[in-house]
Amino acid sequence: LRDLCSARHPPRFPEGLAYFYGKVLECASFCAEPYGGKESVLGELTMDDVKVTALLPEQRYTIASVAGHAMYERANPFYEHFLGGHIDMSQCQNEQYDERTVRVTGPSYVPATELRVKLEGAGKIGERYIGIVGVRDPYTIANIDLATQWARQQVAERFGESGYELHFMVYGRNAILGDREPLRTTPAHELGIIVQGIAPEKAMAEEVCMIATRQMFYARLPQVKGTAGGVAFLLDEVMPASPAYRWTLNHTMRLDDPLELFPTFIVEAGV
Amino acid sequence: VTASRRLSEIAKTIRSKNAGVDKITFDVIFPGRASYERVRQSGALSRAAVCDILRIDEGKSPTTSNSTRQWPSSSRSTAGCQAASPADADIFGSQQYGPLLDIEVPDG
Repeated sequence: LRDLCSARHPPRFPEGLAYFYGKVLECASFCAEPYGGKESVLGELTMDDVKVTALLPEQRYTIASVAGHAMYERANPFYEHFLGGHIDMSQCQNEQYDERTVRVTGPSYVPATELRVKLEGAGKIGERYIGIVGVRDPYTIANIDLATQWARQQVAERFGESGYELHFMVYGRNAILGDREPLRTTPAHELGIIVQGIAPEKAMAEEVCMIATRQMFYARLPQVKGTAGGVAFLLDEVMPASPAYRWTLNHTMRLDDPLELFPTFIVEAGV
Repeated sequence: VTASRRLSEIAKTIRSKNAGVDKITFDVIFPGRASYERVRQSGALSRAAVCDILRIDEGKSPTTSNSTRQWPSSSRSTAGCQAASPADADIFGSQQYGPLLDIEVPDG
């Protein structure tokens, strides 16, 4: 032990275990049961294994919660890539070490042949306003696409077909799943529609959104019994929202020096 | 008549989440090996079955994987649009698992 801890031979934990240890502890009680996010956990790293323990009395780490965490937010549950290589979790063994502790063995580190960092970027589409529209009329609900087409047409008459974006998110039908919604043909008895108007300038975005939102009110659907307004407004206005962005860059970038993009500084303060 | 149970009655966790710019991961975690094996062998979560339920082109679903050691099962699919673009009303992809809950798994 003395030899391991001496300056000449500092302890060197296996990279695979060390990285896995960091990966689990980074998410703390998020990988416990029941899952949380801010409760403390305790990790132990040895030369042979990783042990993680939930500290809140109501929480436990379980085989399912720790193993399941490897799948979380990733396209492949077995490999996690990072600058300098990847960790291979395909041979991980999890065991319930005690009531609230899981012991993990088997993750391995595979060095990369070249250094690469992930490079992501988003580009601004434009300024955005949103409007909220409610619908209770059953015929309008059944023909909601006709109403949004009407509104879209009114915007096109004012601004043309391009130079802006207009989106109608139909809550109560398929706003969340879109075309993947299996129940899209049987909408709820009332709908909430979020209208998004996006344009290069705020004033135009507001007007695009305002025309589209307000024209839902005037949409002419032949069989609607009501003639005093086709939709229900919570507000007779539209609201500024955060600008709209989309992904523009999804790459990796080769580096010669792993730290060249991550300069570090030491500053003395408060002395 | 073959009896069946819904996946939501069998699995411990069923969830979805963004896994990149244009990917969503669907994770199904089982309480034990027996239930995991039963669902796996039933084919209810096969690549073709999941693509059908989520109405995605099978050719666009990059991977499915199974981990028999720990009883999870994970399926990934391309999302319909880029994450967090204006057409995406689920910017974290966290509510996309809904259709999986009602998958009928034949008792076997």
